[in-house]
Amino acid sequence: MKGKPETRVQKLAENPGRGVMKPVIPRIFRERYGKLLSDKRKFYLYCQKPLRKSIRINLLKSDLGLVERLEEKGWKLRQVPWCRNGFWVEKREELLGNTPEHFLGLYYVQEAVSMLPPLLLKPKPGELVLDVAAAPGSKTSQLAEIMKNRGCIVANDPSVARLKALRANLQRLGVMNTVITRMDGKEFGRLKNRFDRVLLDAPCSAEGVIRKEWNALADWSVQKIQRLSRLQKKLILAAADSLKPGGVLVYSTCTFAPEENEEVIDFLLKKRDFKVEKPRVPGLKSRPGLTEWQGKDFESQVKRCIRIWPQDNDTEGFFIARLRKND
Amino acid sequence: MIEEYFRKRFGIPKNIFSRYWILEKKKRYWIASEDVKRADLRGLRIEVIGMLLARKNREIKPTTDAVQVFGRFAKKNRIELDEKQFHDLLRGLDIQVKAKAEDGYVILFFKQAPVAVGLYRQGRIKNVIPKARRLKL
Repeated sequence: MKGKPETRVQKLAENPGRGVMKPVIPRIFRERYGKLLSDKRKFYLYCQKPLRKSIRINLLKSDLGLVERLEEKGWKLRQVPWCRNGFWVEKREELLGNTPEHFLGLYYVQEAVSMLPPLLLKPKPGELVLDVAAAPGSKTSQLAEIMKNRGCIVANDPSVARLKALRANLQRLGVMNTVITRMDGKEFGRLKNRFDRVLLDAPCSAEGVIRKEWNALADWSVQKIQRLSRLQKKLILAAADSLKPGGVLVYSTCTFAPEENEEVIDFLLKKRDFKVEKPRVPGLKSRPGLTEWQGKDFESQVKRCIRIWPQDNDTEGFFIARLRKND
Repeated sequence: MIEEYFRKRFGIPKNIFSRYWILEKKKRYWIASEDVKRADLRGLRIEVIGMLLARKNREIKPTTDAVQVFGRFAKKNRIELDEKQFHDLLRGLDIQVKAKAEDGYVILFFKQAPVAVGLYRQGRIKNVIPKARRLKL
Protein backbone atom coordinates (compact mmCIF):
# COMPACT_ATOMS: atom_id res chain seq x y z
CA MET A 1 0.00 0.00 0.00
CA LYS A 2 1.50 3.32 -1.03
CA GLY A 3 0.69 6.65 0.54
CA LYS A 4 0.77 9.92 -1.38
CA PRO A 5 4.23 10.98 -2.48
CA GLU A 6 4.34 13.53 0.25
CA THR A 7 7.85 13.30 1.61
CA ARG A 8 11.43 13.42 0.49
CA VAL A 9 11.64 9.76 1.40
CA GLN A 10 9.57 8.56 -1.51
CA LYS A 11 11.73 10.53 -3.90
CA LEU A 12 14.77 8.79 -2.55
CA ALA A 13 13.01 5.45 -2.72
CA GLU A 14 12.26 6.09 -6.37
CA ASN A 15 15.93 6.84 -7.05
CA PRO A 16 17.69 3.79 -5.74
CA GLY A 17 20.85 4.85 -7.52
CA ARG A 18 21.34 7.56 -4.96
CA GLY A 19 22.18 5.81 -1.72
CA VAL A 20 20.51 7.04 1.44
CA MET A 21 23.42 8.26 3.57
CA LYS A 22 21.29 9.18 6.54
CA PRO A 23 17.90 7.94 7.63
CA VAL A 24 15.22 10.28 6.44
CA ILE A 25 12.58 10.97 9.01
CA PRO A 26 9.28 12.17 7.50
CA ARG A 27 7.76 15.34 8.91
CA ILE A 28 4.52 13.62 9.92
CA PHE A 29 6.54 11.02 11.77
CA ARG A 30 8.29 13.76 13.77
CA GLU A 31 4.98 15.44 14.52
CA ARG A 32 3.35 12.24 15.75
CA TYR A 33 6.06 11.19 18.20
CA GLY A 34 7.53 14.54 19.12
CA LYS A 35 4.42 15.20 21.21
CA LEU A 36 4.92 12.05 23.24
CA LEU A 37 8.46 12.74 24.26
CA SER A 38 10.10 15.29 26.50
CA ASP A 39 13.41 14.12 25.04
CA LYS A 40 12.42 14.21 21.37
CA ARG A 41 15.76 15.62 20.22
CA LYS A 42 17.56 12.73 21.80
CA PHE A 43 15.07 10.42 20.09
CA TYR A 44 15.78 11.85 16.62
CA LEU A 45 19.49 11.73 17.34
CA TYR A 46 19.37 8.05 18.28
CA CYS A 47 17.25 7.26 15.23
CA GLN A 48 20.21 8.41 13.15
CA LYS A 49 22.85 6.54 15.12
CA PRO A 50 23.85 3.19 13.62
CA LEU A 51 22.72 0.28 15.75
CA ARG A 52 25.31 -1.66 17.75
CA LYS A 53 25.24 -5.34 16.91
CA SER A 54 24.48 -8.06 19.38
CA ILE A 55 24.55 -11.83 19.54
CA ARG A 56 22.83 -14.45 21.63
CA ILE A 57 24.99 -17.42 22.55
CA ASN A 58 23.01 -20.54 21.69
CA LEU A 59 22.89 -22.58 24.86
CA LEU A 60 21.55 -25.60 22.95
CA LYS A 61 24.98 -26.00 21.34
CA SER A 62 27.38 -23.85 23.32
CA ASP A 63 28.06 -22.55 26.80
CA LEU A 64 29.05 -19.12 28.02
CA GLY A 65 32.70 -20.13 27.75
CA LEU A 66 32.32 -19.02 24.13
CA VAL A 67 32.66 -15.42 25.35
CA GLU A 68 36.23 -16.07 26.40
CA ARG A 69 37.06 -17.95 23.20
CA LEU A 70 35.74 -15.09 21.05
CA GLU A 71 37.64 -12.54 23.12
CA GLU A 72 40.82 -14.54 22.59
CA LYS A 73 40.24 -13.98 18.88
CA GLY A 74 40.13 -10.23 19.44
CA TRP A 75 36.41 -9.67 19.89
CA LYS A 76 35.13 -7.38 22.58
CA LEU A 77 31.80 -8.36 24.08
CA ARG A 78 29.57 -6.59 26.54
CA GLN A 79 26.82 -8.25 28.54
CA VAL A 80 23.22 -7.36 27.69
CA PRO A 81 21.89 -6.76 31.23
CA TRP A 82 18.51 -8.43 30.69
CA CYS A 83 19.70 -11.60 28.93
CA ARG A 84 22.41 -13.76 30.52
CA ASN A 85 23.53 -15.13 27.14
CA GLY A 86 23.10 -11.87 25.18
CA PHE A 87 26.14 -9.75 24.30
CA TRP A 88 26.82 -6.58 22.38
CA VAL A 89 29.75 -6.96 20.02
CA GLU A 90 31.84 -3.86 20.51
CA LYS A 91 34.79 -5.05 18.48
CA ARG A 92 35.27 -7.92 16.13
CA GLU A 93 37.63 -8.98 13.37
CA GLU A 94 35.08 -10.72 11.17
CA LEU A 95 31.57 -10.34 9.79
CA LEU A 96 29.20 -11.87 12.33
CA GLY A 97 27.61 -14.19 9.80
CA ASN A 98 30.93 -15.37 8.38
CA THR A 99 32.69 -17.13 11.24
CA PRO A 100 33.27 -20.79 12.13
CA GLU A 101 31.30 -20.23 15.34
CA HIS A 102 28.32 -18.98 13.34
CA PHE A 103 28.59 -21.96 10.99
CA LEU A 104 28.53 -24.25 14.03
CA GLY A 105 25.38 -22.58 15.36
CA LEU A 106 27.07 -21.44 18.55
CA TYR A 107 25.46 -18.00 18.38
CA TYR A 108 22.69 -16.12 16.64
CA VAL A 109 22.88 -12.48 15.54
CA GLN A 110 19.94 -10.99 17.42
CA GLU A 111 19.03 -7.48 18.49
CA ALA A 112 19.28 -7.03 22.25
CA VAL A 113 15.66 -5.93 22.73
CA SER A 114 14.34 -8.73 20.56
CA MET A 115 15.66 -11.12 23.23
CA LEU A 116 12.93 -9.83 25.56
CA PRO A 117 9.68 -11.39 24.21
CA PRO A 118 10.83 -15.03 24.73
CA LEU A 119 12.19 -14.17 28.19
CA LEU A 120 8.87 -12.58 29.12
CA LEU A 121 6.84 -15.47 27.69
CA LYS A 122 8.88 -17.74 30.01
CA PRO A 123 7.89 -21.12 28.53
CA LYS A 124 8.53 -24.29 30.57
CA PRO A 125 10.23 -27.36 29.10
CA GLY A 126 7.16 -29.59 28.68
CA GLU A 127 4.72 -27.03 27.32
CA LEU A 128 2.96 -26.58 23.98
CA VAL A 129 3.85 -23.14 22.65
CA LEU A 130 2.71 -21.24 19.56
CA ASP A 131 4.93 -18.72 17.77
CA VAL A 132 2.49 -17.11 15.32
CA ALA A 133 4.97 -15.16 13.18
CA ALA A 134 8.17 -17.12 13.68
CA ALA A 135 10.47 -16.40 10.72
CA PRO A 136 13.40 -15.95 10.56
CA GLY A 137 13.59 -17.77 13.89
CA SER A 138 15.57 -15.70 16.40
CA LYS A 139 12.79 -15.80 18.96
CA THR A 140 11.71 -19.37 18.15
CA SER A 141 15.22 -20.66 18.73
CA GLN A 142 15.44 -18.69 21.94
CA LEU A 143 12.15 -20.26 23.08
CA ALA A 144 13.58 -23.70 22.28
CA GLU A 145 16.68 -22.82 24.28
CA ILE A 146 14.61 -21.76 27.30
CA MET A 147 12.58 -25.00 26.96
CA LYS A 148 15.83 -27.05 26.71
CA ASN A 149 14.62 -28.55 23.42
CA ARG A 150 11.68 -30.19 25.20
CA GLY A 151 7.94 -29.73 24.89
CA CYS A 152 6.78 -28.52 21.52
CA ILE A 153 6.80 -25.21 19.66
CA VAL A 154 4.51 -24.66 16.70
CA ALA A 155 6.57 -22.22 14.63
CA ASN A 156 4.35 -20.62 12.03
CA ASP A 157 4.84 -18.24 9.15
CA PRO A 158 2.60 -17.66 6.14
CA SER A 159 5.44 -16.98 3.67
CA VAL A 160 7.26 -19.80 1.85
CA ALA A 161 10.45 -17.77 1.41
CA ARG A 162 10.56 -16.82 5.07
CA LEU A 163 9.93 -20.43 6.10
CA LYS A 164 13.04 -21.49 4.27
CA ALA A 165 15.14 -19.13 6.37
CA LEU A 166 13.31 -20.23 9.50
CA ARG A 167 14.03 -23.87 8.82
CA ALA A 168 17.71 -23.25 8.05
CA ASN A 169 18.20 -21.19 11.20
CA LEU A 170 16.45 -23.65 13.51
CA GLN A 171 18.51 -26.50 12.08
CA ARG A 172 21.76 -24.61 12.43
CA LEU A 173 20.99 -23.91 16.07
CA GLY A 174 20.16 -27.56 16.79
CA VAL A 175 16.49 -26.96 17.56
CA MET A 176 14.48 -30.20 17.60
CA ASN A 177 11.26 -29.40 19.44
CA THR A 178 9.55 -27.48 16.65
CA VAL A 179 6.79 -28.15 14.19
CA ILE A 180 6.89 -25.67 11.34
CA THR A 181 3.53 -24.71 9.87
CA ARG A 182 2.52 -22.44 7.02
CA MET A 183 -0.79 -20.89 7.97
CA ASP A 184 -2.45 -17.53 8.05
CA GLY A 185 -2.08 -16.46 11.69
CA LYS A 186 -5.81 -15.68 11.81
CA GLU A 187 -6.57 -19.40 11.42
CA PHE A 188 -5.22 -20.29 14.87
CA GLY A 189 -8.42 -19.01 16.45
CA ARG A 190 -10.02 -22.32 15.39
CA LEU A 191 -7.71 -24.25 17.74
CA LYS A 192 -9.60 -23.21 20.84
CA ASN A 193 -7.77 -23.34 24.20
CA ARG A 194 -4.92 -25.41 22.73
CA PHE A 195 -1.63 -23.74 23.71
CA ASP A 196 0.00 -23.17 27.09
CA ARG A 197 1.70 -20.01 25.80
CA VAL A 198 1.54 -17.92 22.64
CA LEU A 199 4.03 -15.44 21.22
CA LEU A 200 2.65 -12.94 18.73
CA ASP A 201 5.60 -10.92 17.46
CA ALA A 202 3.33 -9.17 15.03
CA PRO A 203 3.99 -7.96 11.49
CA CYS A 204 4.31 -4.20 11.97
CA SER A 205 5.41 -0.96 10.34
CA ALA A 206 8.89 -1.54 11.84
CA GLU A 207 9.58 2.10 12.69
CA GLY A 208 11.85 0.90 15.49
CA VAL A 209 14.38 -0.70 13.13
CA ILE A 210 15.34 2.61 11.49
CA ARG A 211 18.80 2.44 13.07
CA LYS A 212 19.45 -0.85 11.31
CA GLU A 213 17.70 -0.14 8.02
CA TRP A 214 17.96 3.49 7.18
CA ASN A 215 15.25 3.32 4.58
CA ALA A 216 12.84 1.64 7.03
CA LEU A 217 10.57 4.67 6.69
CA ALA A 218 10.77 4.82 2.90
CA ASP A 219 7.20 3.68 2.41
CA TRP A 220 5.98 4.84 5.78
CA SER A 221 2.49 6.29 5.96
CA VAL A 222 -0.33 6.61 8.44
CA GLN A 223 -2.51 4.54 6.09
CA LYS A 224 -0.03 1.70 6.30
CA ILE A 225 -0.09 1.88 10.08
CA GLN A 226 -3.88 1.74 10.08
CA ARG A 227 -3.92 -1.24 7.74
CA LEU A 228 -1.43 -3.10 9.95
CA SER A 229 -3.44 -2.20 13.05
CA ARG A 230 -6.52 -3.88 11.57
CA LEU A 231 -4.48 -7.00 10.79
CA GLN A 232 -2.90 -7.06 14.27
CA LYS A 233 -6.32 -6.91 15.91
CA LYS A 234 -7.43 -9.99 13.98
CA LEU A 235 -4.19 -11.78 14.81
CA ILE A 236 -4.36 -11.03 18.53
CA LEU A 237 -7.93 -12.34 18.78
CA ALA A 238 -6.93 -15.56 17.03
CA ALA A 239 -3.86 -15.89 19.27
CA ALA A 240 -6.02 -15.23 22.34
CA ASP A 241 -8.58 -17.88 21.39
CA SER A 242 -5.90 -20.51 20.75
CA LEU A 243 -4.54 -20.00 24.29
CA LYS A 244 -5.59 -22.13 27.27
CA PRO A 245 -7.36 -20.33 30.14
CA GLY A 246 -4.68 -19.20 32.57
CA GLY A 247 -2.12 -19.16 29.76
CA VAL A 248 0.23 -16.34 28.81
CA LEU A 249 0.24 -14.35 25.57
CA VAL A 250 3.12 -12.03 24.73
CA TYR A 251 2.42 -9.42 22.05
CA SER A 252 5.34 -7.47 20.64
CA THR A 253 6.21 -5.13 17.78
CA CYS A 254 9.27 -3.17 16.71
CA THR A 255 7.29 -0.02 16.08
CA PHE A 256 6.28 3.14 17.96
CA ALA A 257 2.80 3.60 16.45
CA PRO A 258 0.18 3.44 19.24
CA GLU A 259 -2.35 2.16 16.66
CA GLU A 260 -0.22 -1.00 16.40
CA ASN A 261 0.53 -1.26 20.10
CA GLU A 262 -1.71 0.08 22.88
CA GLU A 263 -4.75 0.26 20.58
CA VAL A 264 -4.38 -3.46 19.77
CA ILE A 265 -4.08 -4.39 23.47
CA ASP A 266 -7.07 -2.18 24.34
CA PHE A 267 -9.05 -3.93 21.59
CA LEU A 268 -8.19 -7.36 23.05
CA LEU A 269 -9.16 -6.29 26.58
CA LYS A 270 -12.54 -5.13 25.31
CA LYS A 271 -13.21 -8.32 23.32
CA ARG A 272 -11.77 -11.04 25.57
CA ASP A 273 -11.18 -11.65 29.28
CA PHE A 274 -7.47 -10.91 29.73
CA LYS A 275 -5.32 -8.98 32.14
CA VAL A 276 -2.08 -7.16 31.44
CA GLU A 277 0.85 -8.16 33.63
CA LYS A 278 3.64 -5.71 34.19
CA PRO A 279 6.99 -7.18 33.17
CA ARG A 280 9.92 -6.64 35.50
CA VAL A 281 13.19 -6.64 33.63
CA PRO A 282 16.35 -5.83 35.60
CA GLY A 283 18.70 -3.52 33.77
CA LEU A 284 16.16 -2.35 31.18
CA LYS A 285 14.86 1.17 30.99
CA SER A 286 11.31 1.19 29.68
CA ARG A 287 8.34 3.52 29.72
CA PRO A 288 4.69 2.69 30.42
CA GLY A 289 2.12 2.10 27.70
CA LEU A 290 0.07 5.12 26.63
CA THR A 291 -3.49 5.42 27.89
CA GLU A 292 -4.51 8.02 25.33
CA TRP A 293 -3.70 8.66 21.69
CA GLN A 294 -5.23 11.22 19.33
CA GLY A 295 -8.37 11.57 21.42
CA LYS A 296 -8.87 7.83 21.99
CA ASP A 297 -8.74 6.60 25.60
CA PHE A 298 -7.40 3.14 26.37
CA GLU A 299 -8.15 0.92 29.38
CA SER A 300 -5.93 1.87 32.30
CA GLN A 301 -4.33 -1.61 32.40
CA VAL A 302 -2.66 -0.76 29.10
CA LYS A 303 -0.10 1.30 30.97
CA ARG A 304 1.40 -2.00 32.23
CA CYS A 305 2.69 -2.63 28.70
CA ILE A 306 6.24 -1.48 28.08
CA ARG A 307 7.61 0.91 25.47
CA ILE A 308 11.30 0.79 24.71
CA TRP A 309 12.58 3.91 22.95
CA PRO A 310 15.95 3.79 21.15
CA GLN A 311 17.46 6.49 23.36
CA ASP A 312 16.70 4.61 26.60
CA ASN A 313 19.00 1.60 26.20
CA ASP A 314 20.77 2.41 22.91
CA THR A 315 18.78 -0.30 21.08
CA GLU A 316 16.01 -0.59 18.51
CA GLY A 317 12.56 0.63 19.40
CA PHE A 318 10.16 -1.97 20.79
CA PHE A 319 6.77 -2.53 22.41
CA ILE A 320 5.82 -5.52 24.57
CA ALA A 321 2.66 -6.60 26.38
CA ARG A 322 2.48 -9.63 28.67
CA LEU A 323 -1.13 -10.79 28.89
CA ARG A 324 -2.78 -13.54 30.93
CA LYS A 325 -6.01 -15.18 29.91
CA ASN A 326 -8.39 -15.26 32.87
CA ASP A 327 -9.74 -18.70 33.89
CA MET B 1 16.06 -48.22 9.76
CA ILE B 2 18.12 -45.08 10.05
CA GLU B 3 19.33 -45.88 13.60
CA GLU B 4 20.86 -49.08 12.20
CA TYR B 5 22.72 -47.02 9.58
CA PHE B 6 24.23 -44.72 12.23
CA ARG B 7 25.25 -47.75 14.30
CA LYS B 8 26.88 -49.58 11.41
CA ARG B 9 28.55 -46.63 9.74
CA PHE B 10 29.61 -44.55 12.74
CA GLY B 11 29.21 -46.82 15.76
CA ILE B 12 26.61 -44.51 17.28
CA PRO B 13 24.63 -46.63 19.77
CA LYS B 14 20.95 -47.00 18.86
CA ASN B 15 19.79 -45.95 22.30
CA ILE B 16 21.07 -42.41 21.60
CA PHE B 17 17.99 -42.01 19.41
CA SER B 18 15.52 -43.64 21.77
CA ARG B 19 14.50 -40.33 23.32
CA TYR B 20 13.67 -38.84 19.94
CA TRP B 21 10.94 -39.22 17.37
CA ILE B 22 12.24 -40.20 13.93
CA LEU B 23 10.06 -39.79 10.86
CA GLU B 24 10.68 -41.00 7.34
CA LYS B 25 9.08 -39.22 4.43
CA LYS B 26 10.00 -39.11 0.75
CA LYS B 27 13.54 -40.43 1.22
CA ARG B 28 14.22 -38.04 4.05
CA TYR B 29 14.58 -38.71 7.74
CA TRP B 30 13.58 -36.15 10.34
CA ILE B 31 14.35 -36.16 14.02
CA ALA B 32 12.36 -34.38 16.71
CA SER B 33 12.25 -34.29 20.49
CA GLU B 34 10.07 -37.04 21.91
CA ASP B 35 7.61 -34.54 23.39
CA VAL B 36 6.65 -33.41 19.88
CA LYS B 37 5.11 -36.84 19.26
CA ARG B 38 2.78 -36.39 22.21
CA ALA B 39 1.71 -32.84 21.31
CA ASP B 40 -1.79 -32.18 20.03
CA LEU B 41 -1.12 -31.17 16.41
CA ARG B 42 -4.64 -31.61 15.02
CA GLY B 43 -5.79 -28.97 12.57
CA LEU B 44 -2.28 -27.69 11.74
CA ARG B 45 -0.89 -27.54 8.21
CA ILE B 46 2.54 -28.93 8.91
CA GLU B 47 5.53 -28.30 6.65
CA VAL B 48 8.36 -29.72 8.73
CA ILE B 49 8.70 -31.64 11.99
CA GLY B 50 12.01 -31.38 13.84
CA MET B 51 15.42 -31.38 12.16
CA LEU B 52 16.50 -33.04 8.91
CA LEU B 53 18.64 -35.98 10.02
CA ALA B 54 19.60 -37.59 6.71
CA ARG B 55 18.71 -37.93 3.03
CA LYS B 56 18.54 -41.22 1.18
CA ASN B 57 19.52 -41.35 -2.47
CA ARG B 58 21.83 -44.09 -3.66
CA GLU B 59 23.25 -44.06 -0.18
CA ILE B 60 22.30 -42.37 3.05
CA LYS B 61 23.85 -38.97 3.74
CA PRO B 62 23.58 -37.46 7.22
CA THR B 63 23.12 -33.68 7.34
CA THR B 64 25.72 -31.25 8.64
CA ASP B 65 23.28 -29.98 11.26
CA ALA B 66 22.53 -33.47 12.54
CA VAL B 67 26.17 -34.54 12.87
CA GLN B 68 26.93 -31.35 14.78
CA VAL B 69 24.45 -32.65 17.37
CA PHE B 70 24.90 -36.44 17.24
CA GLY B 71 28.43 -36.80 15.84
CA ARG B 72 30.04 -36.78 19.26
CA PHE B 73 28.73 -40.32 19.83
CA ALA B 74 30.54 -41.65 16.75
CA LYS B 75 33.26 -44.24 17.33
CA LYS B 76 34.44 -44.79 13.75
CA ASN B 77 34.62 -43.09 10.38
CA ARG B 78 35.47 -39.89 12.14
CA ILE B 79 38.36 -37.71 11.08
CA GLU B 80 40.00 -34.96 13.11
CA LEU B 81 41.00 -31.88 11.10
CA ASP B 82 43.73 -29.39 11.90
CA GLU B 83 43.06 -25.66 11.78
CA LYS B 84 44.06 -25.21 8.14
CA GLN B 85 41.98 -28.18 7.03
CA PHE B 86 39.00 -26.88 9.01
CA HIS B 87 39.25 -23.48 7.34
CA ASP B 88 39.58 -25.09 3.92
CA LEU B 89 36.49 -27.13 4.71
CA LEU B 90 34.49 -24.02 5.61
CA ARG B 91 35.62 -22.36 2.39
CA GLY B 92 34.27 -25.26 0.36
CA LEU B 93 37.57 -26.89 -0.63
CA ASP B 94 38.35 -30.59 -0.78
CA ILE B 95 40.89 -31.83 1.77
CA GLN B 96 43.77 -34.31 1.69
CA VAL B 97 44.06 -36.34 4.90
CA LYS B 98 46.39 -38.98 6.25
CA ALA B 99 43.77 -40.51 8.53
CA LYS B 100 42.09 -43.71 7.40
CA ALA B 101 38.38 -44.33 7.06
CA GLU B 102 36.07 -46.55 5.02
CA ASP B 103 35.06 -44.98 1.72
CA GLY B 104 31.81 -43.06 2.09
CA TYR B 105 30.49 -40.39 4.43
CA VAL B 106 32.60 -39.50 7.45
CA ILE B 107 32.13 -37.16 10.38
CA LEU B 108 34.71 -34.38 10.55
CA PHE B 109 35.93 -33.06 13.88
CA PHE B 110 37.81 -29.94 14.87
CA LYS B 111 39.15 -29.62 18.43
CA GLN B 112 37.15 -32.74 19.33
CA ALA B 113 33.84 -31.19 18.29
CA PRO B 114 31.86 -32.59 15.33
CA VAL B 115 31.63 -29.91 12.66
CA ALA B 116 30.44 -31.39 9.37
CA VAL B 117 30.02 -34.35 7.04
CA GLY B 118 32.56 -35.15 4.33
CA LEU B 119 32.74 -37.74 1.58
CA TYR B 120 35.91 -39.79 2.06
CA ARG B 121 37.66 -41.66 -0.70
CA GLN B 122 41.27 -42.85 -0.63
CA GLY B 123 42.85 -40.15 1.46
CA ARG B 124 40.73 -37.35 0.10
CA ILE B 125 37.66 -35.66 1.56
CA LYS B 126 35.23 -34.27 -0.96
CA ASN B 127 33.53 -31.15 0.34
CA VAL B 128 29.77 -31.63 0.65
CA ILE B 129 28.93 -28.54 2.67
CA PRO B 130 25.97 -26.79 1.03
CA LYS B 131 27.17 -23.78 -1.01
CA ALA B 132 24.99 -21.35 0.91
CA ARG B 133 26.72 -22.25 4.15
CA ARG B 134 30.30 -21.90 3.01
CA LEU B 135 32.36 -19.05 4.43
CA LYS B 136 34.73 -16.51 2.97
CA LEU B 137 37.77 -16.84 5.17
